[in-house]
Amino acid sequence: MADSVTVVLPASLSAHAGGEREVEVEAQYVRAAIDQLVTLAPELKPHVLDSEGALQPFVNLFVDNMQVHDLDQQESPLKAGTELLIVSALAGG
Amino acid sequence: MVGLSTEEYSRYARHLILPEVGEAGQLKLRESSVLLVGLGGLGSPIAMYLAAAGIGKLGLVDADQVDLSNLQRQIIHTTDWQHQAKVDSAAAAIKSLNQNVAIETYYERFNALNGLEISRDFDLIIDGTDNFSTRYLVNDACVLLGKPNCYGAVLRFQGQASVFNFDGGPCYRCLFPEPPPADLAPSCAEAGVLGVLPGLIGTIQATEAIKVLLNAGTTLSGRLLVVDAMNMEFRKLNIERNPKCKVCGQHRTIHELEEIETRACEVQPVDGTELPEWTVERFQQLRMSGESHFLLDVREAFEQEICTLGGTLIPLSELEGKLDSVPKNVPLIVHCKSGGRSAKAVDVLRRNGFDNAINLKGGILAWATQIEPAMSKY
Ligand SMILES: [Zn+2]
Repeated sequence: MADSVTVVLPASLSAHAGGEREVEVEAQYVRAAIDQLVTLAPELKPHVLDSEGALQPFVNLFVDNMQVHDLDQQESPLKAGTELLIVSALAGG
Repeated sequence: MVGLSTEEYSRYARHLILPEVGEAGQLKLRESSVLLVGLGGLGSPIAMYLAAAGIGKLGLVDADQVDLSNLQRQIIHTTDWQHQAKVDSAAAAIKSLNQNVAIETYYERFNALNGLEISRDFDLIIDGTDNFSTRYLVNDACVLLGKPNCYGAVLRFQGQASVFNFDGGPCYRCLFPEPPPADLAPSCAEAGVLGVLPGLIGTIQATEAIKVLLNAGTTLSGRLLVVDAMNMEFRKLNIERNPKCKVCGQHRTIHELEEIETRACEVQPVDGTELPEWTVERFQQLRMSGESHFLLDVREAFEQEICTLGGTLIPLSELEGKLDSVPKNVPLIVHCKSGGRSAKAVDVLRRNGFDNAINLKGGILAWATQIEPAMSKY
């Protein structure tokens, strides 16, 4: 049974998700959560995944404030109510 | 070591009564040197607070001059200093704040040739730059020379801060192995930034720098602070060294400074050829020839209020729904502020059968710089 996970987008990406800062998905693993996210908001895809489906090198994911190193990690399922945070590189100064 | 002078006792009195600083700490700050790369929104408060705190030597690197559009956030500069080097403007402000600070100015871009040489004699480097290529150069210089990197970045209402390459923590490249392609990453000039936000992030960088120099407290090493000023949310995220990091990993491949290759736009032209583009001079010739053409401005309405070439306004986000109002039978020149959005628009148009679409290279900024200097810039 898949659980509800909140994907939190940086403000810079929310424009590609209809202005939403948070997107609810039903997923047990990080990969499934991201796949659902980019299906719900296809415009987000190039900002998060490269053409091979790997995480872009200028993006990081965090589950409960811990960095996700492997998009396909299966050993630690997402708990219901978990926040999956997307952080992209910024250059402004 | 010479002790503090009477003037210094008074000036730093509020530091001296802090047990965590005290006279020993204040002397440590006076012995310290900090290189500040970038004297813009982040660099302004950083330079002022570090000067006020009594850092012994400040190095200032920036190749830019003060522009009116900087003053909404770059508070170390003033209206009188327009069109003069930012490093000189900042040096003057620092001198009037605290004569005790020695200043070294570098009126040049921090690049692969000068980066290590400039950084070598400083204890700590602060990244207050405004572009990805300099951020990677600053990071790599810090790693190659073994110096801490007090990092900060801003865009719109978002900010980030950390201390890289310190205390066994990760470097910038560990976190972000590669920069985004230009079309996925707008600059502050294109996307805007709340003026006070670099003040918020810059003061965090200055705080971290002082803590590193004093060896006090817990720094942001191994943590990425992410700030959303719109909702006033602060998150402290755990970040780790990346064993595959190209500059600090076990099998590093970067042994000297090299300019990163800014990846070209991922906008793929329909038929594999380059998207057609014109220089502003060529567009001016067309205008003067009187030949009929259609000028399309894909910026936002508020931008057109600042300056305009008289084109028809259809913001990029609305273009696909308004293709009916664009002609196919005359040269179709498309422009934005600096050429990024209009390249995307030309791609959209060409995919929809507008073989007449041409990008204006450099946008209205290039026009204002090369053809019409009296035009308002932003
Ligand atoms: Zn690294």
